[in-house]
Amino acid sequence: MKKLILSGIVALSALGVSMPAWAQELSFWSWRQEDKAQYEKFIKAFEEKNPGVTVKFETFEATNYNTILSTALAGGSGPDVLFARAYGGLENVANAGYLLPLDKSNVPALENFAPAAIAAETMRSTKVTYAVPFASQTMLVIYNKDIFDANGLKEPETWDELVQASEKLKGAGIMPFGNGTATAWQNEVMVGGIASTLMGRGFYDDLMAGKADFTDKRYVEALTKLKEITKYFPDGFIGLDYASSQQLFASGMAGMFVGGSYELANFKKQNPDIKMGIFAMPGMKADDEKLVAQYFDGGYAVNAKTPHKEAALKFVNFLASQEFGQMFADELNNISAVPGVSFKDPLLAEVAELNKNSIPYIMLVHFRFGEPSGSVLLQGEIQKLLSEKATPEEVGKNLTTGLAAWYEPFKK
Amino acid sequence: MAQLTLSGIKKGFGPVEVLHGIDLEIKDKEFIVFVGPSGCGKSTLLRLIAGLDTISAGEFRMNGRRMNEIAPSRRGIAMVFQSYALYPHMDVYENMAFGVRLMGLDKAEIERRIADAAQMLRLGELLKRKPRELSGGQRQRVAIGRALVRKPQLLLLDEPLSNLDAALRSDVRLEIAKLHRDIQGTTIYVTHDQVEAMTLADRIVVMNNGRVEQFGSPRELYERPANTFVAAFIGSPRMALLDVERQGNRLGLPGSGSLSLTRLPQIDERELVLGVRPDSLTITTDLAAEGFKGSVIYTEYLGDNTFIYVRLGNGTLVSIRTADAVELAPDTPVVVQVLPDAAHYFSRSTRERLAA
Amino acid sequence: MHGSPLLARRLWITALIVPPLAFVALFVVYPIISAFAYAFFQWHGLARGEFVGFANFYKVLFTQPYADWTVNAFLNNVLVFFALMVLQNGVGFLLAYFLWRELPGAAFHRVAVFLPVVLSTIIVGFLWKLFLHPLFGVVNISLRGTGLGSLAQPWLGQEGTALWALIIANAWHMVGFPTLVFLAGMQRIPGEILDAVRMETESEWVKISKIVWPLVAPSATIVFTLLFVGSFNWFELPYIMAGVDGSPHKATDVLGLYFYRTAFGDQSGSGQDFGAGSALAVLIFMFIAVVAGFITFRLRAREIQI
Repeated sequence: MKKLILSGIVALSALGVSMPAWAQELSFWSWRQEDKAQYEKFIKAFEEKNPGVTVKFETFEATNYNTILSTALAGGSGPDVLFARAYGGLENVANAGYLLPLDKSNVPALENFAPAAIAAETMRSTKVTYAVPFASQTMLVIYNKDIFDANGLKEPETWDELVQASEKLKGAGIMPFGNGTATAWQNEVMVGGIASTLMGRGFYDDLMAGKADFTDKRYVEALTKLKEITKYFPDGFIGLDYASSQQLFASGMAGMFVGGSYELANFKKQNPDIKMGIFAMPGMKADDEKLVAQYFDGGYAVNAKTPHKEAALKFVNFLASQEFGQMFADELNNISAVPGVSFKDPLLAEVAELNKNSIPYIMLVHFRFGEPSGSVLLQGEIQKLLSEKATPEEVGKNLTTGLAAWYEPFKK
Repeated sequence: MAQLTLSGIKKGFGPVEVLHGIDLEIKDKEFIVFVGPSGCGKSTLLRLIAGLDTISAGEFRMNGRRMNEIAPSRRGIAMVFQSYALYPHMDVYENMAFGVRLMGLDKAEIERRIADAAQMLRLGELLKRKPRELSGGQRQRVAIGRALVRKPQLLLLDEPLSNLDAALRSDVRLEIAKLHRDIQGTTIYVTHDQVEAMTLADRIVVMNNGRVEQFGSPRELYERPANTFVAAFIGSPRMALLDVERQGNRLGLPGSGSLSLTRLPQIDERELVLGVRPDSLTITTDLAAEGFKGSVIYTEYLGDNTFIYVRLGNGTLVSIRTADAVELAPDTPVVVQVLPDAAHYFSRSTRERLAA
Repeated sequence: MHGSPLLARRLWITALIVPPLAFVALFVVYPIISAFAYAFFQWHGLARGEFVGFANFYKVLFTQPYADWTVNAFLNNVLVFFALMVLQNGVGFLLAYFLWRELPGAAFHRVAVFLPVVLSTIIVGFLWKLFLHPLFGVVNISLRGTGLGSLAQPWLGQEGTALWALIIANAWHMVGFPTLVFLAGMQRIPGEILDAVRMETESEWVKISKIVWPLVAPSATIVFTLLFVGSFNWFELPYIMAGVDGSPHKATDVLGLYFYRTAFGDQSGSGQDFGAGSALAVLIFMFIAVVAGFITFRLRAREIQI
């Protein structure tokens, strides 16, 4: 049944693609249904500058997007320009040769993008880039400014200050953190938001260089501290799901929330009066480099079989331009991946500032290319850690041996 | 042995009282029949004795011991149900063995009792059959067997013949009578059929509307019915009940004339009910004779008897039995006469029997 | 021309049979067969690759980490089946017995027992998530309120309690169904049979085990079969209450979730593998079909005509 509907969609869109091209119309597929109005606006700006090219923006439900897109591409049809996932998700599609390789010859602006952003849309094996990255997300700590002010607290500079601040909030009858870990992927967020500073850039570099694995003392120590700080999480937080934990913070019942930068817009929507601040988790000492964990959401790619290759490239070049990046940041309140964009929203500007001291969101960025994926392992292992079913050492060991199934550097 | 005393037994379902105070004294080894029209409370009374329903008020004693609060299975009572209520998933042997096993009897004793019952009830060939493979009569015998193996002090039978063919009924009736003699226990038998009651019972309890109308031997009931209800219920065809007016020793039936009878009740009431059974009435075509005038509706010739149905002047229909093969055409005017000493008298107001 | 009425009749029959047949073929037979076929190919996303024989089956059954995941999910299904057998069918049987015997409050309980059945699984899932909320859930609040605060738990967050919480939620939701079926079975038992038992014993246990249960067994066949199929196809409730990952740490992972995650991918964790997913679907289908067939066959033999 589902397949029938899919084939229907594919057939219909194939019709759209094969229309005679006196005025070239590009189809542009996306999973961001909620951003439709803004994208229509961006497209208008593009069309004004590029007469003779029109863009039709079509959105699909995020959870079904991959399925619909792969079916269409496999059937030899599909859109001219499309939203592509990052990392492992990109490889699924790019592997099959459905996407047009992009480089400085056809999209010159790519040269100026941050290497981490380009890497997100690049096949690891061939080093070919397939999409223009659009946004990054950052794992950090969000706090309620009013609560901090009322309790005379400021952003902690050291781990001890964080503990003291937590104690003070607890004493005042406020939950220090609103987080819960019953929803599996929130456990990975905790590691990104809490442990990045503690494991440190040195560990990350060694991990990438093949000189360290997750049994490394720095990583295990970081998990030990992570476990410690959950003392200030709500009672029974391991049974608290994602939506409930968001509500605790948005309603002002909790002072802090470890989460992604995408939460800022969510919280604002749930409680327009909330005043928020953000910080990167402190280290043990004040001069430890405070790190956030960053990853890229996805990018804009071109269908390798598009009959409107020139127009599609014209459009993708626009999507890589600073003009677009600025609109993107202003309209969607998101960290555009385009270099040189300034952020009007002070919180957004602060996120961009924190991104200057960041390491990648490790499991998503580097360990989602085989089964079991690093994310699946980490989420489960942290749940074991937090419910006293595993020690930090065991978590490190289980991650390493689990990933050794397919991650060459861990194979011994 | 079982001697039963019921005193002031009442039963209500919610606000509705269906038994209004029953007093009975039943002797050991008696065969008692509860009879009455449907809804009279006879089955309810049986269920109270069995313990299947709780007694609302009053007391039931068995051999002097109060039974009201005793569980049915501990009363030493066995019951044969109208539908037989055999366990469909057990064979005949298991149906009979189920209860005695629960009584904790040893295996040999159980075997022996079932063998005895099977022999008495001719069930030997059927022991391995399931109830659905049995005929109605066979099922009934299994139900009785199941009751007997428990060697109850009191055996209850709830309309046991009602689900049988007419042809089988009189056979089974005889078997039950024999069974009662063989097992030497007390038996209570519920039926709505007065013929069954008359043929089986040592004593009959006639019930109506939750009350006992009369308790006595079949003969007492037939010969000295305590009231018009018993008079009409016992005997077939029914006793004629005529609303007569007394003048001296003459009884007049409005529109039908009058007749004189001897030994009228010594009572000061003018309005009486005269009850006469069909065999105590005679008929004559001599219209000048003394008696109640009426006209023939039809005659029923049965070989040894002939029934003549006559509508009297006040509209009452009476049946007359005669041994002669008389033939009277419908609408023949006749005079109906009452044999001396065969009349029953009842009060018109209380419907009670009036002593002659 | 004398052949034409017969011809017309044949046309009629054809016209009546073909549409439903085509419907079944298109929407039942075809998907099942294609799932079988999918399981024998390598998949790149939704694009079919080369034929790989039984490699996908081998993968989910014998290679790590799939083998562990498969066994874990299967064992959880087995636990769910037996737990629901007691908590859903067993309790349903007792409830039916109480309702049948018209114990005090039967009218109220009839409604209370049957009401949850009409709720959708989504509502029940969210309702129970609220009940079990570690901070504001009625379960923990009432425990704290009655001085049993030490028993308050993050029910859905612990390996030891999460699956049981789902099982109890499911039993609460569905207990009315076996109750209804058993009650219907009991109501078919003539009242005099029960009276006959009462003349022989006052033990409720004997009445239930020796008389009522054997006579209700025919209705049990359908209830058992449906529970078996439902337990091994369990998806909605764990999906809503624990998420597609079988959180925490796969403690609530069951074959349904595992198959879904494997075939369609999990946005926050793993990629999609249609081949392995189809292989799992085929294995689950075969297992359910064989065992359900066996249950139906064996239990049918015990059916009794009343």
